Amino acid sequence: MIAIAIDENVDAIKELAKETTYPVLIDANHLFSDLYAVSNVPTVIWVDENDTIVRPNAGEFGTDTFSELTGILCADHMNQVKAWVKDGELPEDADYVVEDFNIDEINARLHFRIAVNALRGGLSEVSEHHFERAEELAPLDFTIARASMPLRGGNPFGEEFFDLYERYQKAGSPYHGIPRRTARLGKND
Amino acid sequence: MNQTDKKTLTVLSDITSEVEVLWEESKPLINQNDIEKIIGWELKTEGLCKGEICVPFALPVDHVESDFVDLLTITETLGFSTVLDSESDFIAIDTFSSLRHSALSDKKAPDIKLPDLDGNLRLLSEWSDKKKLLVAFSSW
Repeated sequence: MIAIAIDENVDAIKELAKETTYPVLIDANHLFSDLYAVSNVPTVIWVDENDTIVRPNAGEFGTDTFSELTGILCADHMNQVKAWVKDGELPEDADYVVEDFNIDEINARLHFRIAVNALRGGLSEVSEHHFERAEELAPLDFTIARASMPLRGGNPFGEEFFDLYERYQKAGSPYHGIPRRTARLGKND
Repeated sequence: MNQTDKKTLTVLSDITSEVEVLWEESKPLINQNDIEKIIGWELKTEGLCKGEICVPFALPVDHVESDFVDLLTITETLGFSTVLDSESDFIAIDTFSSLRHSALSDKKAPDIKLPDLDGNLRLLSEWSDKKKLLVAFSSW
């Protein structure tokens, strides 16, 4: 397992990852997120020994902390991973093709990149302008809308997050990955 | 060449770099020798090239006078979306478009270089011969 932190806050990641025994990489410029079309976290991708993606982007959790919110249980995924590692078995949804970003989503990412860099350079007005454009173009992309909250003085666990989460759910929880397990089981009908 | 203004442009592609540009009618003109440094593609007689792959690219006819070419024409030729902030001198370029496309449709996992917790740059390909779970997470 390789963990990739889509995060500008290196200190927070070091704190989160201090007990880990697996490699943790830091993606402060969202390059991994741009390259693998990751629009929310956590997103898990299975890659085999030949560098083939055998199960693409999927929202999966390591614990059940958020199960009430997400309806996703971690044990199902854990069992699927075990079957793959031991016997090479792949779940039914493994050949799902994740949709590429559309032009608005790409431009949102480019604006976000400028915003983060402008902020690092102390250009807060320039930064805010580009954060706004990014959010207008991709309002439900968590790697933009939520990732920018702490950078814009907001609280990613506060009211604005719950606002975002409500809008996201109303829109059918769109993200770049295998449709969520709850939807797969028909619980959202 | 008309009135031009020499400035430093911050280029955000798969790397972050700075390059001297001449602004002409709000278009950033870049020295052709700097193209590879900022986007990984090189201007050759065959066109714009990266490794074995070349995309035809003809320099404009009035080009003979200088080594500077319009950066936006180059990114457009390569099919890279860009966002240019000509007031604050930033340009962001989606150089990943074709790699991302092949990751999603051909299921080829592209390599990427990222720092680990100790600041050492690591390539995903270091773990090439193993089964891997790539887990994207965050503190937010």
